[in-house]
Amino acid sequence: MFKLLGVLSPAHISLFTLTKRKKKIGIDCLGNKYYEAAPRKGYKRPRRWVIYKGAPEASNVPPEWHGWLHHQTDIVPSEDGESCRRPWQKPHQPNLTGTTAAYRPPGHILQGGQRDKATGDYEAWMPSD
Amino acid sequence: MDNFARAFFLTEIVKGFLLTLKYMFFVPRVTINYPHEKGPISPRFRGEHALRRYPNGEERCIACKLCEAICPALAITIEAEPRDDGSRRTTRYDIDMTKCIYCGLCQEACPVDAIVEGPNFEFATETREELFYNKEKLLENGDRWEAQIAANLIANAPYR
Repeated sequence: MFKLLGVLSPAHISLFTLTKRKKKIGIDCLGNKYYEAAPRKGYKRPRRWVIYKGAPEASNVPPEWHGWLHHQTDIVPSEDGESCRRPWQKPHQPNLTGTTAAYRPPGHILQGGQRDKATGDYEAWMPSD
Repeated sequence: MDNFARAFFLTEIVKGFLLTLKYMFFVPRVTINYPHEKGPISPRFRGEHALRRYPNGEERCIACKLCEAICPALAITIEAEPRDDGSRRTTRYDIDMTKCIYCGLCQEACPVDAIVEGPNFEFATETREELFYNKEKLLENGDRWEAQIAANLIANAPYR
């Protein structure tokens, strides 16, 4: 059932992209393609969508395009958006939960289970008091 | 008699079907094809937290603990000591995202725009422990999302 739904959603959007009068806005650094079309009936905002490269993974939209896709801004990120990143900025990552690369706090058993020592900003309770 | 006529002519069912028909064809649709289309969100949207850096790469947080003090859910834990060069920095900055209520008071309290709630809301996890963020994770969020965080802060600046 869920497999079928997982196929239907990209199939619908691909058909929609083929048949609708749309404008291709650009491609991001991950290879996702972004499109825009006239507003739907009863709405003012233009209709915006993305065709993902590979499996549709909602968190795979890089921050440069995230704002445009969510209608936060109408400014289209430039093709060389990568080049105006500062050296300490890191490339985008999808939500990695469920994989071995997912974030885990340092005290987690899979991260070594070594917790930082508590500092002395409290006094331990003693049962004899 | 009245009841009998209504049951006989199935008026309730017809009414129900007409309502369905109306929402199928004559009312603007509200559904979107989610992973491909996404709903509008405000530049002030309060999503996943991030710790920002100055343009030269220095972390902004100065460990004033205002966010820890104002947090109504007590989700933030900070420990601090002076760094080798004498500047005051956090040695621990933990946010328990399972406690956080996303009220945005931490980013309003921050005097240096260090802790912000970014635009990302797709950080759901499969296990609970993945939501106990530490300083490293928060700084990494900032490093990955800085492009949009900065753009949103600029767009919002005239109204603050």
